[in-house]
Amino acid sequence: MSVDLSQFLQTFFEESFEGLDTMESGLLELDPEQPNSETLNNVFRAAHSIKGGAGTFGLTAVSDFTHRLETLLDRLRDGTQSVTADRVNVLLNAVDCLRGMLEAIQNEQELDADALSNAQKRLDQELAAGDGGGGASATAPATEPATPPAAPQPSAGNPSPGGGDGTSRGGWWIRFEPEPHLFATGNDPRRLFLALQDLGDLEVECDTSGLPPLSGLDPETCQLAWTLRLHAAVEESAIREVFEWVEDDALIDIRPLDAVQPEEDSVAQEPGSASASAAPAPEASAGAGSGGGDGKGVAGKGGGKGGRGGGSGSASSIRVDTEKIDALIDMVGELVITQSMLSQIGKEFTEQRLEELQDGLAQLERNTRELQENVMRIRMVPISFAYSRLPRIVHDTSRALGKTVDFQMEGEQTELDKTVMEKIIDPLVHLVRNSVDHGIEAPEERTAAGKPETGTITIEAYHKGGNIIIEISDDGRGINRDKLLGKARAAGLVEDGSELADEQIYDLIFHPGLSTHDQATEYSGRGVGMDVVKRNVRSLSGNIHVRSTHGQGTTITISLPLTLSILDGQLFRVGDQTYIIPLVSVIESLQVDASKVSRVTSRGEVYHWREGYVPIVRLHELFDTEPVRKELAGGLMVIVEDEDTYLGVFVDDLLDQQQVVIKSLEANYLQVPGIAGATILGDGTVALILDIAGLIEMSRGGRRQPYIPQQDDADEAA
Amino acid sequence: MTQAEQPIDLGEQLDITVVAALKASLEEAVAAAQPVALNGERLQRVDGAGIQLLLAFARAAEAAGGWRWHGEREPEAIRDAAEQLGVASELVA
Repeated sequence: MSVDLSQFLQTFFEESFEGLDTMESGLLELDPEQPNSETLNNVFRAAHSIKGGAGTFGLTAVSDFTHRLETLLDRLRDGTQSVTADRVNVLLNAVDCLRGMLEAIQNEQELDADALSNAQKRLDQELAAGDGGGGASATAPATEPATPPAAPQPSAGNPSPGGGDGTSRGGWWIRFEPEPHLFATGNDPRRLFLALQDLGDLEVECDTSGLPPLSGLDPETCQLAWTLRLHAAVEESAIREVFEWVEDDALIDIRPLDAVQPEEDSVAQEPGSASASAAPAPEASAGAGSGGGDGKGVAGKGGGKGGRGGGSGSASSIRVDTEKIDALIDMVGELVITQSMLSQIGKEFTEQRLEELQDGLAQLERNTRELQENVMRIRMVPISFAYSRLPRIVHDTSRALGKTVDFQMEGEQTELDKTVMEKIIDPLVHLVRNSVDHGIEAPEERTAAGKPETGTITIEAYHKGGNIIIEISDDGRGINRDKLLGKARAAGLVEDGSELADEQIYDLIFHPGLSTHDQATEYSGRGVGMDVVKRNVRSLSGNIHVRSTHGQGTTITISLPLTLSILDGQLFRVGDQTYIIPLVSVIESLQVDASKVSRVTSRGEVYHWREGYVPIVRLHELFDTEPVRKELAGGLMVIVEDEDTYLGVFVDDLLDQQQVVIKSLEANYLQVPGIAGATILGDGTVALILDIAGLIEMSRGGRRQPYIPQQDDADEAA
Repeated sequence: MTQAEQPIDLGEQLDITVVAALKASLEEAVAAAQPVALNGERLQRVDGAGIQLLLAFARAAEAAGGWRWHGEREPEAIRDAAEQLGVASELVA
């Protein structure tokens, strides 16, 4: 019976993109001076999983390319080659290439042959280079700070055990300490040893020191360890290949047999002494190994895009913590209990049980609310996903601009709605890149200003009320308020002589085409982008503000709703209908002063407001309802705003402000211009939520009347 | 007086799929403090988990009533696995 693997392909893509993020963040963390071996292991494991998955799904181009990448990582891991900044960049480039390949395959596009060939060439160059000037001398692993005192050195006259090509002529010493779960993963040491026997004579010594008495043994866990001696002149990579599928499930230490001194060999075999620290340090085989040079080509062709995972083709699935699911199940359990209690009361109801019924109903209300909250939590994901792209942006941009930047991320576990998070990634990338390019000064400029050479950029996320606040701060040069104002005046955005508050001036950086940078760079400075950032934030019903002190730095604060399913709304009434305006769009509510109302040809009524005029929209005309009041004078008007365009909405009465759950009108009925959606109020009535951008469009001479489909249309749409 | 032997048939497979159930039988036999005779004649498949369990059993049985292979010779499947895993000295006669 064949299994349809395609059903698991999406999961493979998701896990691979996560793996690539892990690789990227791990590589960015690597300090060439003191590379952390655990970080290298994590990066290697992620690459290994992608390779394995790609092989399973027959994605040869991906598995072949990842094999090269993995080989270089393995050499860095075991110290055959050292970690250098250039090598890290080659690996980062390979991660990008791999991401592009996976995206292209996911989106059924052609692979980018040029990017692939370039990344492959760079990997091959590193693999062929060995350790550069290091020659063939045996070195301590790069992951260790220095040659440890316990490291055995080849005795004088004894040829270096490494054959210069990863081959040990004297054979290999292998320590194999499985994790307890090895058996549960379907792996059997027998199969591994059988494969090793195919390579040559194998001596096997079992370390049973960890085996508990029969009564205390969990027989499904592995409590044994082994020391093996393989007498075969094979490459280390051949042995690693045998252990390929258990690398994550065991400690595997492979050393040239000649390099293992007899006493240390025996120490390692003694019961209880088989820890990695007691084992002899490896005698790295030197120079250019041949692992990875297996001559396999990469089959990718054509030209696709080289973007990131999680792009347009990313799945609309979500990974949910088991805890959240458990909480939901608990809630449903409670609900069932309450329901059965109420049903019991209903069957045997007497007036004496009224209080009991009320208690039961109160309990039902609590259960329902908690269930709703828990269901909403399912869509909440930590912002760390959005953060994951940022260190790379800082690394690449600062490197290209010759700046040094310390990038701090705080509040990584702060949760927000998945959709909100996906849409905020690009604005965050833009803002952080801007901070590196515009904010942080060149090292010499910072030194001259009495600042540390290394600039600091901090991104912080936290919850405040029903919003998530994201702050991006830098200790750079700040915004030159007067220069910005001067540019704005020159561009005619601000009238000469008019005074603006600091906040209004800084807000000008979001104006299209206005940049404070004199010269555009590859990264920013053309004044394109900040307006897009603001538009994106506003489209999420969020706000963005700038604070800056010239010479000291800038802080950009983004406030976003936790979810797009709920909005803070201002309720108001026109006739017998209730409508809602998103609170974020409301600027001011006022009583209409008849003397400020004018009529402009072709533009209808306008209201003189804050040194300008705003068009007036009478909702009762737009929606064809009978209002309580038709006269503007003395009536109520709500000034609303969208992308710096204002509108006066004439209403009968202002009601409460409250959070409402948004129901899609489009999904349930049809898209209606001027209406963003609907909600059901506490009394069960339906209220329409206004689409401010749509209303403004209508007031500009677009269709004055929204198109209200007839029942037939609705039926067709359904 | 000769102590009665407790025979235990290992069946056709001694692997991860059966070790939990087999462990209970082996423990029971050891607790009886009588010699145990393991019959592995029908064994077709032996894995690392199976050998590990036998090893723990052999040590426990040595300290209790003792044990031996039914037919006085270890089954071939056991010999191969024990040699391959480096524990032949404890399981093979």
